[in-house]
Amino acid sequence: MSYERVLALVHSGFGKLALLAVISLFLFHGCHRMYHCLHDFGIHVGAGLKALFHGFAAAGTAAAACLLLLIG
Amino acid sequence: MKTYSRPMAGWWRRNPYYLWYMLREASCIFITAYALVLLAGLARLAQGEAAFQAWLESLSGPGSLAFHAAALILVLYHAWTWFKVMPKTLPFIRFGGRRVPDAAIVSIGVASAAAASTALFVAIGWFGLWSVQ
Amino acid sequence: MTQKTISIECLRYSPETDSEPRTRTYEVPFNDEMSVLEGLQYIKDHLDGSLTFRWSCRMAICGSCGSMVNGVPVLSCETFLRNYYPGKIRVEPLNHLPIVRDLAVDQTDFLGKLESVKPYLISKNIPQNKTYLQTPEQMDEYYQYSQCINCLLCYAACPQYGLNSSFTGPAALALLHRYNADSRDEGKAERMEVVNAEDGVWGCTLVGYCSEVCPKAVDPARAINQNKIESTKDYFLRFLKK
Repeated sequence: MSYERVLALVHSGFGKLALLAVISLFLFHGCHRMYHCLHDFGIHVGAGLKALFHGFAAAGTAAAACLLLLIG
Repeated sequence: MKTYSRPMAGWWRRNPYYLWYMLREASCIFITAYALVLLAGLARLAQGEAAFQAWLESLSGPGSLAFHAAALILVLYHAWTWFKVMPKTLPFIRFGGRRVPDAAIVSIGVASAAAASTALFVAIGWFGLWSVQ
Repeated sequence: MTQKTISIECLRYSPETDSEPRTRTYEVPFNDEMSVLEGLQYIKDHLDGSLTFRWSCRMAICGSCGSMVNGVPVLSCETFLRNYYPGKIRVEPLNHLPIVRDLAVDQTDFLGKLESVKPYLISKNIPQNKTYLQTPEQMDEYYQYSQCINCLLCYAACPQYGLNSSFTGPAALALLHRYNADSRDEGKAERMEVVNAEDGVWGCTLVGYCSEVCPKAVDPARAINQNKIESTKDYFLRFLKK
């Protein structure tokens, strides 16, 4: 997993898509479940928390996309 | 009519079935964390070779290894429970006039996932990312 | 030969005198054939006539005798003391439902939910000869959901119902699906509001315990999650309808 090889992967279209998909999907799936988990623990959930969790996932996705574009 | 309602606090500790369910739900914490680890790696990659090397080395620390081991186990458990539950989300599937049993759907799901994962491993090896150094 | 006995610990609650439930343990003469229900009946007949519990058919079809045995929702008439002997068994009223007295719970909420799902065939096109034709395959689509005996074990199993009693719940939603899936029914649109609600199918997080405990293999978890797809389709395609 050397720098050159990973860079080569990220430069490829396939690599970009794969990395974006994994990071984004993991974040959204994880955050969505964690949000519903709060209710299971008895914490009252509302629109605010929903926005927080899903917003976090969206922010992470945006960050990943930006970084991928930056790397080129 | 006067009735008594029992409190729900600690409900998930009272039955092993609920404990496994909570573990399934809690696994998503590790999934989110892993995504953040990948994101961090991507950021370090953007910062150049030195930063990326440093990040790679931090991955082999004991804390990181423990996290990755736990994450792997939990992701596998997450996948298993996902497939166990999958038949419940599908309408009845008929094949040759008979209904396909749930167990068959689970097996096909798990087998497909295993096959896809193996194919991915091979592809990674072929691209030369897998390196012992 | 000395008579074997088993300890049965029962939750007791008298609304007239108690501010909260208490327990009382009884030593009940035991033989291999006895069900938990028969144990309770022995207590009522010989040890403590004030013990209150529901039962009727003694053969797992009326749905009256649901209770928690060692923390698991079961029908007491088809749960056998021999599987717990010589350990103590703990009998409590069904979880997540308000206690009226001792082991009897208040079913009012469920009855309201049941009414809300319109559990009857809604059909505008009744056949001329008043007879519907239905193939075995068509019946298979809904048959298992029609087996529900309204015993409420699934409500006792469902933590989402326990956390939020506005949730329509497993049995009601399974019965809703039973009618939607019946080829003779045309009432799906009328039931969508209940399905689509936050407390409809979306209240379910697929814990799946309801289907585990159901004595009739109704599989309410499946019924509910089929309708998540329907609800999603309905949400996205609603602009295509008039």
